[in-house]
Amino acid sequence: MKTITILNGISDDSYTEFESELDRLAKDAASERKINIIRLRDLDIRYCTGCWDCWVKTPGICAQKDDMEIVYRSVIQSDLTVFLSPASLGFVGSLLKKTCDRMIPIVHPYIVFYKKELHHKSRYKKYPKLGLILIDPDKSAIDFENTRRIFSRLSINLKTDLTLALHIAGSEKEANDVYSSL
Amino acid sequence: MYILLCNGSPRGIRGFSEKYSDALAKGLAEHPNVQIEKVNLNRIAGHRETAERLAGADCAVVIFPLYTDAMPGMTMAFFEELKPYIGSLENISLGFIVQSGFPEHIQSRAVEKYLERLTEILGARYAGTAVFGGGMGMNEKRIALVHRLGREFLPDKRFTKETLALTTPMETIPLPARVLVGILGLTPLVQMPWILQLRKNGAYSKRNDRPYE
Repeated sequence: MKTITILNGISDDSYTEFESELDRLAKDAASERKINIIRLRDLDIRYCTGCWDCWVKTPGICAQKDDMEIVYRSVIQSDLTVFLSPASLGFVGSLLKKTCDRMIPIVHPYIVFYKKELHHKSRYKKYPKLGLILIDPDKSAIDFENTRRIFSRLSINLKTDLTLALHIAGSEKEANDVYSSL
Repeated sequence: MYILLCNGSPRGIRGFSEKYSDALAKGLAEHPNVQIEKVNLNRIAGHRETAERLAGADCAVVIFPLYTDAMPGMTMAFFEELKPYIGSLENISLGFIVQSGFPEHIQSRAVEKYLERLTEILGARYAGTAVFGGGMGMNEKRIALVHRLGREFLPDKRFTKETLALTTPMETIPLPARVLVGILGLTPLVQMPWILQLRKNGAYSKRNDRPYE
């Protein structure tokens, strides 16, 4: 069964119809897919403080005691993790960005060459493929490309690939497009 | 002239970004009639007030460490506080300093591109982005370079292209260096800073833990 985590970084009620439809489709997912949508705005997720305890004191475990445990477990155990956010100043919003920052415990502090660049060594044997869904009613191509490029970099750091990148306006109908693409 | 320097590091004055901010401020201060203010963005409650100050500044430079290939989340949260000022920032020069642990410029290219676009969206004047790779520490040479960036920032209110080109000259690591580091990587030498910290904290035996598998 393909396991999919969607990190929903929508910070307010601007896209409730889209969210409701996506929730409904996820619940009705066919038996070969399990979709876990994590609504980040409902969780207590704190900012990364750059303490590096997750590397040098409690390897793999963040010092912040908040709801990120839910996110870590779901991400690591998924085949595909999708980052979903409305465009905010041409990028993803701070709610999703702070969640991305908190991903560093899932890699090791040791340094290795990967794709001819220096990166941190893998901690886990397997990482999910990554996806990006940018909600942008203006459909700015440059903002989508800039955001896609940054998440493509993130995929290198997590030793995986960005296999999905969608640019949508956030309508109810588009929830079907998102679901079909997973 | 009022210049605001925003330290976007979650570590605040304890992080390397503060050292960049200090060196930049000293370079800027060589000019007469310049009022420089330094603020830290690691206090989220202060973001609204800082955004108001930025809106009233002549120039602002936001300095931050690269976090998962872009700005730290709290720096992005600060940028979002600037939304009410879109349309009224046209006389402000906005520049950035990005510092990262890895030495290659390529690690910061994507966010560099974004920061130029961010400035355009905000309607401010883009003063450039200085990228410093290999930033695990500040030596005298680097402090002098950041100081120079500050000194040359005025009167044009932007970083000079000539000095920006000196900040991270290495786009990627050349093959001979990769081979050398690859060989050293077979020994514990390359990882020694991490090994020492893990041992000091009694966590070495847990270094490969996979708690969420």
